[in-house]
Amino acid sequence: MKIFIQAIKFLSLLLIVLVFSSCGAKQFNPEQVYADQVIKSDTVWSGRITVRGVVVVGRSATLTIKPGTTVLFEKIDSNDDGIGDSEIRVLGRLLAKGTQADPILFQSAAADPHRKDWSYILFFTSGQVSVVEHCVIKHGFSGLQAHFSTVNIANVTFQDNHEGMRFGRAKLSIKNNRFVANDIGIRFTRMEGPVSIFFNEIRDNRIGVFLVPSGQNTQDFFEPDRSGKPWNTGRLLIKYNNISDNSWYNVSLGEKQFWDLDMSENWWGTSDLLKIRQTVFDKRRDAALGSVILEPVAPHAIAEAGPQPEN
Amino acid sequence: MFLRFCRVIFFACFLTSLWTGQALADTLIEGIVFSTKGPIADAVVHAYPDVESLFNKKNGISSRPGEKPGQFKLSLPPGNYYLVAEGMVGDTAMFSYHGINPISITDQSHWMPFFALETPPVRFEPGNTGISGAVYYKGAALAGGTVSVYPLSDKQFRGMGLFTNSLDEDGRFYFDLEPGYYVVIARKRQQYSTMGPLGPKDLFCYPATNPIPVEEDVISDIHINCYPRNDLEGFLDKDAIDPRGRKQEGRRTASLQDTEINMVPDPGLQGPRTGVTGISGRVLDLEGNPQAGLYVAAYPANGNLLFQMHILRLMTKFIAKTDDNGRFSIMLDGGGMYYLVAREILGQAPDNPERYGLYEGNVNHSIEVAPGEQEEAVTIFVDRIMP
Repeated sequence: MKIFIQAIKFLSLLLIVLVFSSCGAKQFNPEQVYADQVIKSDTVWSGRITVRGVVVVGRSATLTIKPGTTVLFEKIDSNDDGIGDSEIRVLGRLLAKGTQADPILFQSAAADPHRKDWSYILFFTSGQVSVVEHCVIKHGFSGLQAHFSTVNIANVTFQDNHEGMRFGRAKLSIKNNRFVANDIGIRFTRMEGPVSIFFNEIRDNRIGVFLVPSGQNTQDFFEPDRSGKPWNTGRLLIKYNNISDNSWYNVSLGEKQFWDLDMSENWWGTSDLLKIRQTVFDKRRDAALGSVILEPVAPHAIAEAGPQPEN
Repeated sequence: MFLRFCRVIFFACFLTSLWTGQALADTLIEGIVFSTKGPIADAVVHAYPDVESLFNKKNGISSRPGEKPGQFKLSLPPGNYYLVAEGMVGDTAMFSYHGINPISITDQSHWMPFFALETPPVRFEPGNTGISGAVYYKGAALAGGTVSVYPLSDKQFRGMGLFTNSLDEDGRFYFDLEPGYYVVIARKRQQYSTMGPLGPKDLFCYPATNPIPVEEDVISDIHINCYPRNDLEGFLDKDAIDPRGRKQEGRRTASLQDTEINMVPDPGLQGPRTGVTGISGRVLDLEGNPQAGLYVAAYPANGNLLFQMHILRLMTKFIAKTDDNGRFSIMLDGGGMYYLVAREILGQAPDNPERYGLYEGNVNHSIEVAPGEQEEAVTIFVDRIMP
């Protein structure tokens, strides 16, 4: 009888815990597997999450990812293009705020992981401000892509991706991140902004920073009412970064990218302008391209560049 | 004798039926052709049944003079036609391609005005392979408009075509193209949207030199003049002969409106119908309020089971606009899978503070529609992007 009463008490307690845990935002247990799914209400991830396919954060939803969470993307290549299909696509809001001690990890689920095992964390036409902080993102086609969205990205390490980041038209703060050992550190297709790329460490990629015109845009590269002249002055800022040791180029302009790109006040691993220019692919190598404006060059490495301890 | 009489009567009746049948079948199109100086005396309107005939100037049906200078009468069997007008002002050839071509002629008579303009010949210069040019309205460079290039296979010459570019501040443009023939049309809208039919006073700019030939390592440089849709006051010069002096204002005004009503609508910009393939539903904001006046566009997914965001940058002809209750209905020309998007502006990349939303019924943002069936009760949520 005593055992029976204890069992009843235990089950009651378990029931209470279950009821309370289901209140408010949905809390998922560790080892949660997400197949193709649209998240339509506020959701919290913690522990170990596996993404098997596409997870869409719906326009009315916020996905919060707790510090220390590991998000694993399974490699599924349904269209056989060599790029894993799994991705997180944010139409609503993503709050992925890790800590220095407990970063959030996004990476391949494969035992032998490779770049392009999964697609990306994609922000597309989001109506809210998303935050990605103190995360490590690995093995994606792009670690993160932002198009027509507003995202603050800080203290994130992008490593072993095909591209660390890619963005088009977006409002972005990209600060104190580390882009290392990717094919391309940061690739972008528009010079609009407001985008600030401050205090980042961009090294040991093949190409550190790569600006290409958008080849798929049936409209102009620039806004219709601003075509014919560069108009990004003051809206796209790339300053106070350490950009060095990228094996092909520290910065490269893509084909038909004929606008000048201001990248002054960055540190390039040296203050020797001639040596810096050897790591830049621009008008000096292809007359059809614009120039990368390097001067004034930062006189020494930027101490505050790269991930920083929390205040 | 009686048999011969019967044969004659039968033959006469047969001929009469043919004649009356023809008379009943033809529709009378009347109208007037203007230059900026006023009506163009002896102007002629030609109706061509297809694009090939239009560009080869074959198989056309030509108008006869109307009652007053510049006016014309044209009898056409019901069908679809490309209508153009030609005339002379002094020694200058004038030309007008009607902005709503191809025009559906039913059994109802139309009054149809044409605004004719001069088109200088194409200049060919060595260089890249493509088309360059400049667009003008009333002699001034047109800045801020768009220019689209279409392959001849397009036939409708609407929407964004093969490519669409913006005019620079000097009204100039350039397209890199493969050798061939292309139709070039410039437009400038008073409204914010860049797709759908032009509205009153929107500028329509079609050069008489279409189709433009493109040859290897040659730039075809063209000069395009514009006219304002349904805005005679804006079109005529201040010293023009005012057609209102001919007591036709009421008729002209009413007929201009008729022209709008009778135009062939863009596919998709039509109300709900039964028995056809389509998608219908509502657009709501995140609080559930209906969103009026938004475009809903269905993009053929072309068999892609994965969402392809770049497809949303391309042109689709399956577009509807939401009514006051946020309802929409899109007609499709066949079954298949379609990505669904609701937004305020078409033809431009999304930007703050546009209201925008993808269909969220699945991760592919797509609807599968069976041929001949309607997918109904589709809801799309939108909010303002890039806060």
